[in-house]
Amino acid sequence: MNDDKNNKLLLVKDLTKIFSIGPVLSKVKIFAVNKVSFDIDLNKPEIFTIAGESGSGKSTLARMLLGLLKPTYGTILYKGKDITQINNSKSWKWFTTEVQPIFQNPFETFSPLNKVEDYLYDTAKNYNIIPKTKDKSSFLKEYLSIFGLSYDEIKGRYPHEFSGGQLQRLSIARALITNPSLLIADEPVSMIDASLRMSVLNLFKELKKQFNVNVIYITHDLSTAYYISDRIAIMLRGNIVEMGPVEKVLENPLHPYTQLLRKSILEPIIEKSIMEEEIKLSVLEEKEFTAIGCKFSGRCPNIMDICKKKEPQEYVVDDRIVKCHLYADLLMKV
Amino acid sequence: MDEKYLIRVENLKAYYSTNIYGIQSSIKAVDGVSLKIYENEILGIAGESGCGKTTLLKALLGIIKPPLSIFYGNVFYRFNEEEKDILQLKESYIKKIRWKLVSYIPQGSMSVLNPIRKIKDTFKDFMKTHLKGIIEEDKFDIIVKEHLESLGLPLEVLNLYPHQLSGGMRQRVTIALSTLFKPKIIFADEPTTALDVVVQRGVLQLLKKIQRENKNTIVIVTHDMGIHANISDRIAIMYAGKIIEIGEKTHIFSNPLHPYTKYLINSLPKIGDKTFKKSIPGTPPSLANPPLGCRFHERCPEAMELCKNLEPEFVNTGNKHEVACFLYRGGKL
Repeated sequence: MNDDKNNKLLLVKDLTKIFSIGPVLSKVKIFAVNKVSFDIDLNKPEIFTIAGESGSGKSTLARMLLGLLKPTYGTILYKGKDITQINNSKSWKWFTTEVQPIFQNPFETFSPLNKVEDYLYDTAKNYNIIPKTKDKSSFLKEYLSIFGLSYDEIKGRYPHEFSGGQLQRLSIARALITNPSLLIADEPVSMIDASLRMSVLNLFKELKKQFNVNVIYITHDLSTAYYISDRIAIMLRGNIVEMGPVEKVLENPLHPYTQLLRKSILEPIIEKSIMEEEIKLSVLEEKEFTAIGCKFSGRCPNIMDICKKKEPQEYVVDDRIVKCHLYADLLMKV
Repeated sequence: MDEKYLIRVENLKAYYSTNIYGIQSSIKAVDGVSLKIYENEILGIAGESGCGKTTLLKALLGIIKPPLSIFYGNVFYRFNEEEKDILQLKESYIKKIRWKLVSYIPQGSMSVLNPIRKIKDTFKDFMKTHLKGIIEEDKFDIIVKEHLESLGLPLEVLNLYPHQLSGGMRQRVTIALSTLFKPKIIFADEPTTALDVVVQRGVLQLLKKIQRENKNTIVIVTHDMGIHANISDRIAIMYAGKIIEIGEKTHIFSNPLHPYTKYLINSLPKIGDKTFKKSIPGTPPSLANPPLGCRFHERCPEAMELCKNLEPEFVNTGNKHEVACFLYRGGKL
């Protein structure tokens, strides 16, 4: 275990967040994130996708990883340190230099009343990044050129004068000022136009290659996940139901839910028209959260008796982890 | 597809004009669009945000409210061999045909349904307003039930309130509501944008089913090319207030002509394809002050001298595939 700690950049174990909803006397417990475990290796930069539909708990997970939300139980070890236990400002500052967020809407990331350049400069100042010999313009000029952005283009301009794609690239540039090892990006391209979306995604790829930055990419869009990531975890109602290399998980999904997701993606390929086969939708979302056993049991085409009674274990099948009773027998045989 | 068109748009220009402290400015959201929409087809209108696709839809529906105004052009509806300019018609007439002949599926179904009334009451209210005096009230229940059954929706939703339904079911109830009177033409503005992938597929399935059974026309506006690939018959690509390419789905996807469409189609990520995808250089122009000439020339890799000053007209390249680009005019006017 100790050895494991030292080789991992991020080690998440049994992370759980319970929200209680409803009136005082009849509160319902919702497991927004339920016993999630995964890890990222220290010296092997990767882009790790957490994918799921709305209400799958992926944003709650992101907020816990960023230290913004306290988990009900479970641990998050970042470079061996438990970040849920951070209680002094020095460790917190260390953590925020190491891990930086990127949010969905770049227009909300930047204050509309401040110039974008000030924003970048202030971040650098707050973390004492700027060498004493440099002034604002020469620092920003040099810094932005790393990302193929020109200082002259952003000089004196306010956020509303940029397009979403430009601004998102600037917010990524801002996040990287502290030279972090891990970026947590929550739906970074969902607000960005199709024609500019790829430029942001390509930047992530570039960062991984050139600066060894790890990225946790949180999204509902499986096609972009396939394009940029190395590994993927599929979440359903707080649980990771399948996790493994992105090619394997998306090209040949094992969990019935992943299979349904895969079938539902509207791909821009005309030869393959969907709509032939009808799919089943959930009528009430709350029912799925509170379901005993597998959360997918209400819609699963391969349902068995056990699925409604017992929560499935995680099984290792073909390089990946699958949380489904279907693979219990398979494991026995091996 | 025959030449029986339902809607004909002639050189439509719809601008948002504002007057702040004496400074007049206008946003040219739709700037010179001509288009025909035929019977029994699904027409997709694609484009980035801010390219004017929603404004075009508003004009097609005849919902013109300040600051939006029609600067030029006509929108003709053609029902029973008779053409009528929707932009000149009286509000009372438009009200009469809306929902019955022309219907609309809004984007945010959350705010469409009355939160304090059960779904069945919403249906009843809706029918009372539009069918009073035509059909007796006690038949309403049967009509609603038949309609929901034909769409494959569970009847239990009728006794629920909107907040009890999941997002996808709510959107499907909204669709059921807007197709209740079997309209001839349905406009849908980003009908699935806020929905999850699985639910999105369910909603599109429903739309396709309605179209197949009633043989009506659906105009679907969305930026998502994946949706167009799966449900549209014809696709119109909009860029900065203009339609720059229009054609059948198969032609647009297998043989995109306009440099912008080429970029758009080739930059789409697909599962099973990890090759490098380039995004389009530059950013879309501001519609308050669009560039001279072809609106794409600043970002176009194949721009010529001509493109900077003159606007290209449509060229028919055969198979009803039209494109507005000088490349297909041999670099000439």
